[in-house]
Amino acid sequence: MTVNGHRIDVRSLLRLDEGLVHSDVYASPEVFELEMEKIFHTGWVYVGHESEIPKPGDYVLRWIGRQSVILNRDKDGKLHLFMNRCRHRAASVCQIEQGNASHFHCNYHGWSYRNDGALDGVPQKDGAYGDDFRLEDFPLLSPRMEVYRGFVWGNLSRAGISLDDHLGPAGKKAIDLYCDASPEGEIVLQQGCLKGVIYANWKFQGGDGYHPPVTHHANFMYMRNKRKGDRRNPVAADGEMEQGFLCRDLGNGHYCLDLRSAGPGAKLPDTAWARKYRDDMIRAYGKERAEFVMRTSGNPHTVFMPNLHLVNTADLRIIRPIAVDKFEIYFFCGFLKGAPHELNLMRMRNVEDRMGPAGSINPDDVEMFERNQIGMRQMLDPWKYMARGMAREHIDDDLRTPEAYRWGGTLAGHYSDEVTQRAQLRWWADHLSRP
Amino acid sequence: MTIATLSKSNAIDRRAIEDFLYREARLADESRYDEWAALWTDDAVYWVPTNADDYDPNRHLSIIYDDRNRLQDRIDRLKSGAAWAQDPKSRMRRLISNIEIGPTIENGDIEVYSNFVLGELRRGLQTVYFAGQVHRLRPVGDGFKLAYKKVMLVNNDEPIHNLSFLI
Repeated sequence: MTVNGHRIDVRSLLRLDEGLVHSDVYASPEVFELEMEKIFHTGWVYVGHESEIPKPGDYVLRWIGRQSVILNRDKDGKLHLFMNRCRHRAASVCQIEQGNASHFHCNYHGWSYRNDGALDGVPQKDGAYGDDFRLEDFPLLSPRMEVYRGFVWGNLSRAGISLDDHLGPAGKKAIDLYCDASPEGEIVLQQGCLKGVIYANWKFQGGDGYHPPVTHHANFMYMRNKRKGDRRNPVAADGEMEQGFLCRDLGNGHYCLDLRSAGPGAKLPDTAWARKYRDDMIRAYGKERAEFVMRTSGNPHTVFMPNLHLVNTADLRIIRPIAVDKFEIYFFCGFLKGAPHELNLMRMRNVEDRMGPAGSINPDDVEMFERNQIGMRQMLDPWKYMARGMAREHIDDDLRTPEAYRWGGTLAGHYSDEVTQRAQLRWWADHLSRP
Repeated sequence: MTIATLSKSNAIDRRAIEDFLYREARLADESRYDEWAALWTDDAVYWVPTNADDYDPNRHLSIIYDDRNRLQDRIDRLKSGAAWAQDPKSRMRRLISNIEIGPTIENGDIEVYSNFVLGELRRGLQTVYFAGQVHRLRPVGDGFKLAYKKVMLVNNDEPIHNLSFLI
């Protein structure tokens, strides 16, 4: 593959059978250009959630790779995804990140589009374009769009696999688990978002179970002190394997930290609202599933390539690549439809506590990603070592989990293993090697 | 009360209020965590909104929405020696201006509006923040305690790199 006159042999950048990854994977601008072309501008990219635009005319501005797109509803409430580009001279027709509009206007020459994409106004049209000019030939363009449980993906390629195949059974079950914490099976994203910028490569997305005791030592230290004498590191201590702390390759580049056996995420208090939530959940899903979902409500942390994270404590994250050494991250909070506000408030406070540029977790992650990027520029020995757990990863049938959420037949390792990073890179190499 | 004594008492209040704001800024600039934390009341609200300057913080995310416990967690974490995003620490100076003394509200809290410009330098990256802020100062003894502080960053709807210092 040749990009900008440079020939890139993607396969030569990975020696995964030895656990070795070349720094150019994260540091080469040519590799980044190739990722834009082969991943973000060809495959499925998460753009938003239906609940963000509940009413006819509602819209949000998002991106597919570098390209600005509008996710909206028309006057009848039908969902659309449009390229944010006038069909005339290509100026953007929507400038505001979120709002409600019956029309999208190009303020350059005045072409205007209805919120179903149809062109319905061209100033000084008569006689200007010949007799065969028809407004209906120039609607806003729509990339491919598919939806799973309210999660909307776009794809700039007309060909290629369906969203269903991209998510795969394991990916869909991760979304099911996230949504099923709502007794109505729906999440609601209308709480705004926290926005961060990271001066590192977009593939540093976390999903790493090895780092928490060290990167987040400050949290564990003060949490431990608060627990008065409990010296145990809550994550990744020796012996946690037996308790079922795992990480998994969910296929198609998706992966997760699987702490579903770790017990309750958000501990429900003994209150009337919590009892009502429990009852509603059992009524909706039956006892076995409801108890599993409530027990695992803090986990897992699932990463969907290339740009979506679901963390069951509440946060939903969108990744936006900007350059080889810069990306942005947007943290949303999924409210659970039909759940008591007290529970949703707990979830939101939890996201605030941990995430965003002033959270207790995220800034230290950002710091490590950026230190990682500094290291990636050094070429004395360009290979980094990602072999952790290669000798003990195995296919796991996940038999303790109710069938609805079971990740049977997935490659799993100890929570702290680098199964997840290797899953990402195998998928990455497959995509970048395509003709 | 004569005009003269009224204006004199206003002048004294204003000076004390300004001193409090400047002191709070200096403790934050110098990452003097314990002294800064000691400024606050037990019913403290420390709020940095995201996306917009005002909304119901129980219905919308915030960059920071701390009560006294959460604020103390923030301080303890920063003091742990392992808060890597502040290792090394940010070097900062902020200039406060446009101070307006607002109404006295419940608990006798005096509401104060001001603007600031903050220059922050860390690891070769110098960042400038502009913000409006609202303080609620509660008269206690000879001075004030900080009951409420809201920082309305001009860029609160843009991606922000690292706000792990005291903003």
